[in-house]
Amino acid sequence: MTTRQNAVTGLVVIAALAAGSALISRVPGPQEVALAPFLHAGTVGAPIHLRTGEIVVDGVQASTQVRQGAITASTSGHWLVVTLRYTAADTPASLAGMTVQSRDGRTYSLARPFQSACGVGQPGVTIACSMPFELAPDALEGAHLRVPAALLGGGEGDDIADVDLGIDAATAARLAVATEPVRIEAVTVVGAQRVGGTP
Amino acid sequence: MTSDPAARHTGQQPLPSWWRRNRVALVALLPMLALALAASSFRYVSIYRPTTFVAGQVATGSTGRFLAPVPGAEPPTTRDVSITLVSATPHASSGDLGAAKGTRLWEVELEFAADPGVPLTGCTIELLDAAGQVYGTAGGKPVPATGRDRTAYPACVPEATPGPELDLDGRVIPATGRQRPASWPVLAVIAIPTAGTPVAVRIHWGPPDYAQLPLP
Amino acid sequence: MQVRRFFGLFGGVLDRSTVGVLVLAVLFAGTGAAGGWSGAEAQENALVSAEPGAAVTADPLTVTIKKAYVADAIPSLAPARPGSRFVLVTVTVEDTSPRPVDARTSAASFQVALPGLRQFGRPVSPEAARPDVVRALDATPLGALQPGVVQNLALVWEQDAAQEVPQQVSIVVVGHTWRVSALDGSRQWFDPTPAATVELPLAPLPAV
Repeated sequence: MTTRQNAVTGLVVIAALAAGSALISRVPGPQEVALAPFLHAGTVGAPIHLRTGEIVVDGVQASTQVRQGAITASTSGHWLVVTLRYTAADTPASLAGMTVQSRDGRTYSLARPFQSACGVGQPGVTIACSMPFELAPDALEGAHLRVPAALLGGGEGDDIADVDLGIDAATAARLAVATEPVRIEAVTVVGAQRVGGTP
Repeated sequence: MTSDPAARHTGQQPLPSWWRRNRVALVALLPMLALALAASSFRYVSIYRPTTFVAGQVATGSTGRFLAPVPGAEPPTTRDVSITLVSATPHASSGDLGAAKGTRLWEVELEFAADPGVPLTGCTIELLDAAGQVYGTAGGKPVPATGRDRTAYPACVPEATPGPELDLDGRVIPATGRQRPASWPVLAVIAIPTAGTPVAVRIHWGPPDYAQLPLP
Repeated sequence: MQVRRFFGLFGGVLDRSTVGVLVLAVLFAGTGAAGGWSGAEAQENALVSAEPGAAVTADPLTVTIKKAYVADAIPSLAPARPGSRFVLVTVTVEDTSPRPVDARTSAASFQVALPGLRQFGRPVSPEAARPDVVRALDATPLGALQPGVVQNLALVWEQDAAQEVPQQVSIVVVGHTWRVSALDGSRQWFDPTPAATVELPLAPLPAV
């Protein structure tokens, strides 16, 4: 081939590579697609079905102090206590890896001295848990609770419940000034439905 | 010099169709695809599948023999235990535990018989129902007044003579002190919704092997 | 003229591109022989020195080191242990990243340059020694640093009592990066990088 053909070939190859890499960078890669979670949006009071069971968020409370047994924990921000009920599906399971996502994208986790999981759930038997999250002062409004179906993988490629906790501006202002200590029980067993056995 | 078979052909006979020319390869295509798929599924067979309960030793009577290697044990050890279902009855309360609303506490009495040198700590006892739901010992039971549910994890071996144990690396720690008896009772308390009816009890020390006995 | 003649001898081998490659090779070899980029790297990683009471940034944390005390026992935090003494440092910390910092990484964000440090009853190097971290607000052990929540923490290190009682201590604040593990694809706080150092006098613990 002549030098001119060489040059044209070279340019065509470079252009094709550039176009190809530009396209690939805009399209989600196979790893991203495989690990994308299956989000189930919900609100307070509505049952949400996950692979490992059904959850219903009952409500939220806030305070600057939370008590469980002999432990009292305080915070310079706010304690947001989320109460929810969980009924396991086919096998015993626990809800772990729950987080609260604030409107500005920050993630809040469960940590010592309180428990980080709601469990152990038995198929068909409903348990109730109160999970205390320590939040920054401005993170209450628009907070969402994220519950992955299982702890391993943090919900990658799995069901995740995304529950809008219904904290609007007025509720956030009310919760922000609550200082009455909230007393929580780790896990309580609510019971099973009398009618029917399959979830 | 060119690769066009039509050009090589003298032109005196019609060229056989592409399908006929490639018939051997086309016929072999489907089996080859199947073989390629099978070859690339080695990860499913060697890694994923053994994390599920695929190797069951299901008994038809009230006694079953469970024989399975202990995965990752140093030195390689086999669990050889004979399990007998003595009784499985539902109650409204068991010991200091009360059943939650809408549930019953099933007391499952088993008898294990094994050589004193077999490591049997860390078993899991579950009840299965006809729909395939699994009920375990840890969930569904209200916390008793004493503050702790001692039946959440069943005592698989006698407390005083547990026999050999396994450490985190899989090494077998030999038993010390008195020898474990030839057979001993094992009790599991499992909370099941009143509407549920268990049909079998499953005993295992981790997937993939498990022993299953039918409930009377 | 002589130079021209000398290079003329290589006429068959030397052309413009070969000379170019040779010049680059000499450049790289020379840079490597002179120490490479380590000088610039060292400059970039140089620790920022800060005053006690000043806010120090060690991503993901913003830290203010307040006071340091030394004592043979610290009430409710460190009961007396024969052969050991304790160094207590009070700090104010805020997690400025959008995710929590777990207790292990929080403890690993602080190092003291003291001899004879001990952990779990055994001697340990200053880089490996991790303090016990307790929240000053309610005396509970730290579970995690949540984003945007300002925490007052008490850090306690154990030192061999056979060492001289230190008069001052140098505290290094270490930053971490949230990234994917090359080993198993999980996301964690990795890459501890010392970011700043604060020098504090060590006072005996006042009786409370």
